[in-house]
Amino acid sequence: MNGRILVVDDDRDIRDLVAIKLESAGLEVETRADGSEALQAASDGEWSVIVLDVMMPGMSGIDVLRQIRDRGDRTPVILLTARGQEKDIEAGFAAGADHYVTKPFSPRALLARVTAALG
Amino acid sequence: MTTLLPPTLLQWLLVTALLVATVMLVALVTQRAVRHRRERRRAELDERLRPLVLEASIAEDDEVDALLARVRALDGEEREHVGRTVSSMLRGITGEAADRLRALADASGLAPRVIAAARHRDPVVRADVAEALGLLAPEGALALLLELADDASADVRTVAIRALGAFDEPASVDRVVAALAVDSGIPTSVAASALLQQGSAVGDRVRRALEDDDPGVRRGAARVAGLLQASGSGDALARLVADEHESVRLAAMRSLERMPVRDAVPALRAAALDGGTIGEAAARALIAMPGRWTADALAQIGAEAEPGVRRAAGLPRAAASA
Amino acid sequence: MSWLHDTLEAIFAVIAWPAAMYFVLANTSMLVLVLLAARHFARYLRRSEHRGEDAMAASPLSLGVSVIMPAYNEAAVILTSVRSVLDLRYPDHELIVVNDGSTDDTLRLLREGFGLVPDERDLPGRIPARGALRGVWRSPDPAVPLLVVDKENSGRSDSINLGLDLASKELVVMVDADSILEPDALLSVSKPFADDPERVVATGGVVRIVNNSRVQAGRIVDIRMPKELVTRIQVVEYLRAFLLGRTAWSDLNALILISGAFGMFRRDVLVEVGGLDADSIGEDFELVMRIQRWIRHGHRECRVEFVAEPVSWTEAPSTLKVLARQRRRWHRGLWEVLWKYRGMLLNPRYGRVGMLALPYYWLFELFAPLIELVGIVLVVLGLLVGAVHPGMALLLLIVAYVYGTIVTLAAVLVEEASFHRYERWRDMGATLWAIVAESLGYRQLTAIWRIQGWWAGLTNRAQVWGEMTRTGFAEASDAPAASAASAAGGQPDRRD
Repeated sequence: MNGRILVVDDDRDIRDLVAIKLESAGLEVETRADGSEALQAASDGEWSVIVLDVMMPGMSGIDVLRQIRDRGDRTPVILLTARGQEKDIEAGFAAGADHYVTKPFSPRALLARVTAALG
Repeated sequence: MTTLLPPTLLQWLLVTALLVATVMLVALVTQRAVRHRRERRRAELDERLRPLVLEASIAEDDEVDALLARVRALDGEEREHVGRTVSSMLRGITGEAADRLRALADASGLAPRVIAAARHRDPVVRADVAEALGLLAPEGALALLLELADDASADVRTVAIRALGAFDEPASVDRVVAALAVDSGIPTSVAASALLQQGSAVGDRVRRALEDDDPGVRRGAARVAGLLQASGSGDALARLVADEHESVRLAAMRSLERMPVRDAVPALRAAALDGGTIGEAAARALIAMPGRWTADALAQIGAEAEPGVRRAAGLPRAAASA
Repeated sequence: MSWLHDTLEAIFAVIAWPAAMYFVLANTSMLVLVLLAARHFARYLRRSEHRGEDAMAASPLSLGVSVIMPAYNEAAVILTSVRSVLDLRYPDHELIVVNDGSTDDTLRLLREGFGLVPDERDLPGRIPARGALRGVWRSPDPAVPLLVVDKENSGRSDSINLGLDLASKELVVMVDADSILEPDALLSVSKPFADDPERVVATGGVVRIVNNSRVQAGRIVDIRMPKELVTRIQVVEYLRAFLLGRTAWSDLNALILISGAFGMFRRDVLVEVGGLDADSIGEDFELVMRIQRWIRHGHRECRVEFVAEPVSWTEAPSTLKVLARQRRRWHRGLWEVLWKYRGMLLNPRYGRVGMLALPYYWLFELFAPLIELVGIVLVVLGLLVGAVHPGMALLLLIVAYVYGTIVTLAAVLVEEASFHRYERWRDMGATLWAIVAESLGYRQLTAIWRIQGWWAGLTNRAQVWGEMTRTGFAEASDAPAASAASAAGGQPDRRD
């Protein structure tokens, strides 16, 4: 499989688990730990898919997404939201998300989502 | 001249004070130095062992045994670190990767250690055990959690009930429902959340719990019924709107917001007209229902209910319409 | 000068020992509080593995929270603040911003930023409010639970009361627009309510000083020690009094002060006691006292609890001028509330609040600056004219300052063992210097300001009484002073 994936989460465990799973499928992965780094990376590079955590200190994932979309960037975005935060899902779609996955999640299911988003 | 104290005593006081201050300073610095050293040590271990754990999370079936053997060959400190890393990672994921990590926790000796500590003297340790059992779910975890759910310490019982949320076996569901009882000593939000986590498997049990003699059980079941969309619980919920206990009525109304039941409308209308917190909850349940069921009730609320209830029913203020 | 010598000697003969005893008692009781808090933390931290906050964050059954944010001319920060509150990690919370007659763009920014639409729903009117309502706005987006109330200027307390009236959740929490919130603030502070919803009626969390820390989009991302000494001393002060003092009072079930910068209440109880007192300068303190009285009048099973988790970060005064204004206001508030509730003092009916907490606040908070200053003046004069033996002066110095420094050091030690938020070695050096510097000038200065505040309270009260006979009810004649202080960065809070 081909594709460059940007994974953004402040939780190192999640970042590493997602990265290794996606890499095992042959994808190229870069990770970022907070919203402003993510924005920078999103504007610097060409990404096939962005996996974006909602709950981060500093800028939230929704804010990052909003700014990405405001720049006219239509890269597919998969949001990672916490269970019980259904409002994040609504807000996420309103901000232009393509999919969401609730935490705790199965890395395998996430890979399937990413694959689907790659088209 | 006011002298009062012999100079030697004063000197002693001062010396003691300085001594105490010095000891405290040393303690302060030592504490931080030790903590920093431990953090550095952990970072070192992490650098070496983290790749192993991550690799395990994506391992194919035929690779697992070799990885587990590698973990078993590590020294005590390293295996402990693997256990710690796995526990932290398990909070975020489920599915196949989680199963792999659980196998790793077993090989690292963490799971056996947790099981062995289930009857530890210290309630804090037992509570940690309950938490870990829910996370690691080793063989026999359910039986141990059921035991810890009857622990002498309320703290341990609470954690055990929360952990039981990860198990949807009938025994686990029954125990969680029992924990909803008023005098169980377990926060109702913890027990009800566990029930919710057990998911669709609990539908039947929730329906029965709505008729329970204990108001705490009725309240918890009423609250969860709507979130689970438990089919066939509508009639019971409608009855609970007029329950003798206020908290049960409130819980039933919250559920009716998500699961409209036409038979509940008259009782909700009556509650809304009585006003107060209950009245507001009733009004919120009413406006969540189809308009053709509630038009009369809302008209009466508009004319007769107190302003707070009118607000909850989404009705405009008199000044604004005038 | 011999008359002075003789007078001072006579005075000293009478007060020297009581004064020494006073300082020993004051510092010992603080030390006891610090030790109680240390015990609390030792237990609390051992339980951190199984507190279950993640489960709470994920559960739709958690109690709903209405966040009330009064805003007066907050155009610079309002959008960031609102976003950061909406983004807090909590399953069910709404935000009510009360625009207190701002003369800047606060309301316009909110309306445009969130596409607000008019909200014509009826108003409960359970809490009498003074500021005339101009309109209510709400977000049309169900994912953005935001309500904006626009009203004539009438002060912070009155604004919060109006917000409280429109709140719809089980719990309410008051936050300031310029406070920086911890992402888990609502979870930590609502935890006691979730654990014991029938009995816990109010909780407060730890407020820390944000100066010089790095803040991004309304969240703290790097904690740093403030640059100015005067702010560093306040960090130590906050640690000792807010973190440890309140933790201990909470364990004693005698907490009478929670910070208004982040206090959470059961909404029904807050409405029942009538919300904030719009005339009070120490409105947060006044409210908790009123709740404590309410508890002792027929709700004995209820309690007020302190959560030792950091919840919000606030800008502390970094100049002496602003600090002076803040401390005058705090002490004046302290005096007015203590005086208002003097009937509870040493009254066994009020349990530990009456028998322990209030005597402590009267003796070691209200009177402390007076006793300290009088002591200093007498000792210095006495030493000059030779009426005081240097040994006695030294004794007073030890019990008043050296002992006090040790108590503060104990507080820093507890912080280091528990939360250790300032991780750089440099920060430790700065902290230690601040502990010493607090005794060398800072305490004496604050003592002067506190007495000024007390005096203002004493004299102004008489004035208000005089007016009251004519006009029926005096429209808070101190309102300009109070709002000036808050506009200049004064804290809606005071020191224990």
